[in-house]
Amino acid sequence: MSDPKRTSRSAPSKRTSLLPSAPKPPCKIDPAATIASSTVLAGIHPITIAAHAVLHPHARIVSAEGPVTIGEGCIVFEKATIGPLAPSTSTESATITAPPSTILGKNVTISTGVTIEGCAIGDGCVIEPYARIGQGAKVGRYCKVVAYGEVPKGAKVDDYTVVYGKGKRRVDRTMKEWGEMRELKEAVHERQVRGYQGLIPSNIAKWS
Amino acid sequence: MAQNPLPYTYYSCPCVNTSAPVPILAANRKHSREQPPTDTTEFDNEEQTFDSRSPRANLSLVPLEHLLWCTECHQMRCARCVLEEVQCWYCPACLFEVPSSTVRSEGNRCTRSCYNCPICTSPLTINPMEDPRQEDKPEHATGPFIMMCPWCNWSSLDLGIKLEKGTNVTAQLAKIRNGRKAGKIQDAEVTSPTQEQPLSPLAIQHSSIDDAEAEATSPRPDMLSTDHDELFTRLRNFYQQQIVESSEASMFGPSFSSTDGFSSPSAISRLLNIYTGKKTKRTKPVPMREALSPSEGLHIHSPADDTDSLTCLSTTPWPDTTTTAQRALQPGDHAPPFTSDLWPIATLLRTKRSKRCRACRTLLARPEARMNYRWRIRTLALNHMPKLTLLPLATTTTSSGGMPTLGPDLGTPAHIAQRASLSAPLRTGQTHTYLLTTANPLEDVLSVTLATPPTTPGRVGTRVTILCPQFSVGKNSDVWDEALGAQPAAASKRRSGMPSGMPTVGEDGAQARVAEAGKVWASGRNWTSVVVEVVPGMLPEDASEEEADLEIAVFVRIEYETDAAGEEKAVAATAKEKREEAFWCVLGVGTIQSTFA
Ligand SMILES: [Zn+2]
Ligand SMILES: [Zn+2]
Ligand SMILES: [Zn+2]
Ligand SMILES: [Zn+2]
Repeated sequence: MSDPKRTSRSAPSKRTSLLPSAPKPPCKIDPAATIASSTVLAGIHPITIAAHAVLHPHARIVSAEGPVTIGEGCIVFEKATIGPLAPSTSTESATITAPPSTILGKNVTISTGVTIEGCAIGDGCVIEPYARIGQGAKVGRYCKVVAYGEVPKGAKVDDYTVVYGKGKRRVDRTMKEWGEMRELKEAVHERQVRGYQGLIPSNIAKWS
Repeated sequence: MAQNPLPYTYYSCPCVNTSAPVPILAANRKHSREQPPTDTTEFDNEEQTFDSRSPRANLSLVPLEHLLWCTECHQMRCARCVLEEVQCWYCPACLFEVPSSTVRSEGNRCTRSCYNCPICTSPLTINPMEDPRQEDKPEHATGPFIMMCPWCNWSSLDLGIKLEKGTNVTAQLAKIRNGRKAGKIQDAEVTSPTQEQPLSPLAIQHSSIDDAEAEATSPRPDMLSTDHDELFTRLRNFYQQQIVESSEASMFGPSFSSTDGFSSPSAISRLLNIYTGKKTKRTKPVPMREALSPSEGLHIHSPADDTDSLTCLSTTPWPDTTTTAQRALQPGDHAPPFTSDLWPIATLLRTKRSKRCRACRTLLARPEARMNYRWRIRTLALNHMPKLTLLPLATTTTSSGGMPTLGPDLGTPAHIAQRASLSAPLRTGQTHTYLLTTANPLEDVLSVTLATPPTTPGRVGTRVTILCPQFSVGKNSDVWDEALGAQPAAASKRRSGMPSGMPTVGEDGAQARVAEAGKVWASGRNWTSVVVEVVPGMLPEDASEEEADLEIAVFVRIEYETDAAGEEKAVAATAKEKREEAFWCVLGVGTIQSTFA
């Protein structure tokens, strides 16, 4: 920018068009979703984002190796990465023909810095900051993975499980046995979504 | 000590030389009019070099920031040579202070609303169970409330507990618990005479804000419970009765060893009988018997309990059983085998302690009362002793030399770069140069003498030379004095892009500067840097990790004259007092690279 000739030659609006931008992934985004303009959606496989989902700035959805589906009312925080990895070249790839996919259920919270590989996460789960869910894992409903927790590749986590400590698990009896607590959680989540909808300027047009 | 971030300087507290942590150099510190110095111990100390690897030394090497200072002994004080006094107890969660008398009577746990998770020990939060969507929400949460763990999601609902209020949880819990106990007893009456161990009252003993009230409100106080405390009370009553009965029967029976002793009316009447010679009918002593009924404290263990527990255990998955740690944290004798019975743990209180010098009992640190973490008094060694810092003599043109570390200068990029180069391995036989900076926190000019053994102890034998072991360090005067007084010099330096007062190692032409023996490298307002040359020795093939880490022991002796004012007499205010202090410190340099690797 110190060179005056260069700045005069290319206006900022033109320069962005000159940049080799990454190809847009095929997206199916509900108009009621909130996606910040600095959210990254990349890849070649379809990305589906349901209503009332909130993608924070700098969240990354990468469908390079398989499709990604984000359920209704999900919140994905900044620096979280969601997207399946390439299928391993071992024997299993021969049997599985479909590409690995990532599916988030309803009202899932993906916190800052979380890595979600090609796995399925059930409704109402909370994945706390910097946790990691491995490829092929199946996380049930109303589960919680605490900060820096890890669900290894291909692991199965039952409904209402809290993954905490060094691979410890316990059943969240409060959620399991008390329907009113589940309702309460849903209400709190909805309020949170509404709050973010008011705070984050949405830019869905960028992706459709 | 590879785990320590380099560079480090540890100070050796003089209490290292004594098995009882009493300073031996105390006499010399008070180098004064009333007492001639007895230098023998100090000379001994000087002649014998300090080995930072000796197991003993490890106990006394402390960073300067951790040391306190005794203003009477003029000596540093480490954790080993201070006396601690509990000043008060407080709850770490709500910061409320608890008087010692309350701690003695009610136990060392918070009696307000502070609890920890029984599964993972995180502090529990108390949340209202109300729908946030509710439109006509009252200003204050109405409840019911539950206790929740923000980490592992345990909640008081796991015990089926909802609280009416968000405050005074302890009393509410105690009430619920007593209610449950009573309920269990009723069940016991109906089903079988013996029953599995109910929740213990000890659990709520320390949370007994209204234990008595709760006791009174428990539905059937006449009921015979099998709980620990009541059993004990009944047994004690029974045995006391037994002692009385059997001693009444036998003249000099066990009554004399019992609590009644000679002063009890029965004993006196018996004695009178002996002296008056009246023959009473001697009844045969009734032997003491054991408790026979539940009212006497008998509790028969039923094998059915065990079988129940065993069947329960065999059907319960492993994660639902409690760990030893979890059981140990449970209050009182309540040690449930299953996680579903775990009760929240009242937060343990902590103490605020004041610290005194072990030698002279001077107060070194005293925490502020009231709800905060501040100190009312705290004399830090940091403010009374020169601070030594070792940094590599930078050879790059951008960075500067050693800096006084009293300011916030350690965060500058130059210093970070130096730290990086400091952690680079040392090579055998190569000369590495370092700057040793002595910073003076005192308001008097220091004359410093440094000494170090020419080769480090141990097998490696690194050669160490302090090029200028004797120098003086300016006083810690007002920063503005320097800024205003040294205007011209500072201005000229600033023009060349260097901040004032910085030793200018990297300037053009100065790069070729060679450290000279006997000359100070650089100095500033209250600091002086001298060059130290280090030639790492040969690492033996079987060298341990610890041997590869290079530490230099330096003996520091400082002399200064200070105003005697404020110490003893106001008359002597004008008189200057000469002080001398000496100590060992250890400089962590880096890791010697093994030539065999
Ligand atoms: Zn000490
Ligand atoms: Zn408290
Ligand atoms: Zn917990
Ligand atoms: Zn003292």
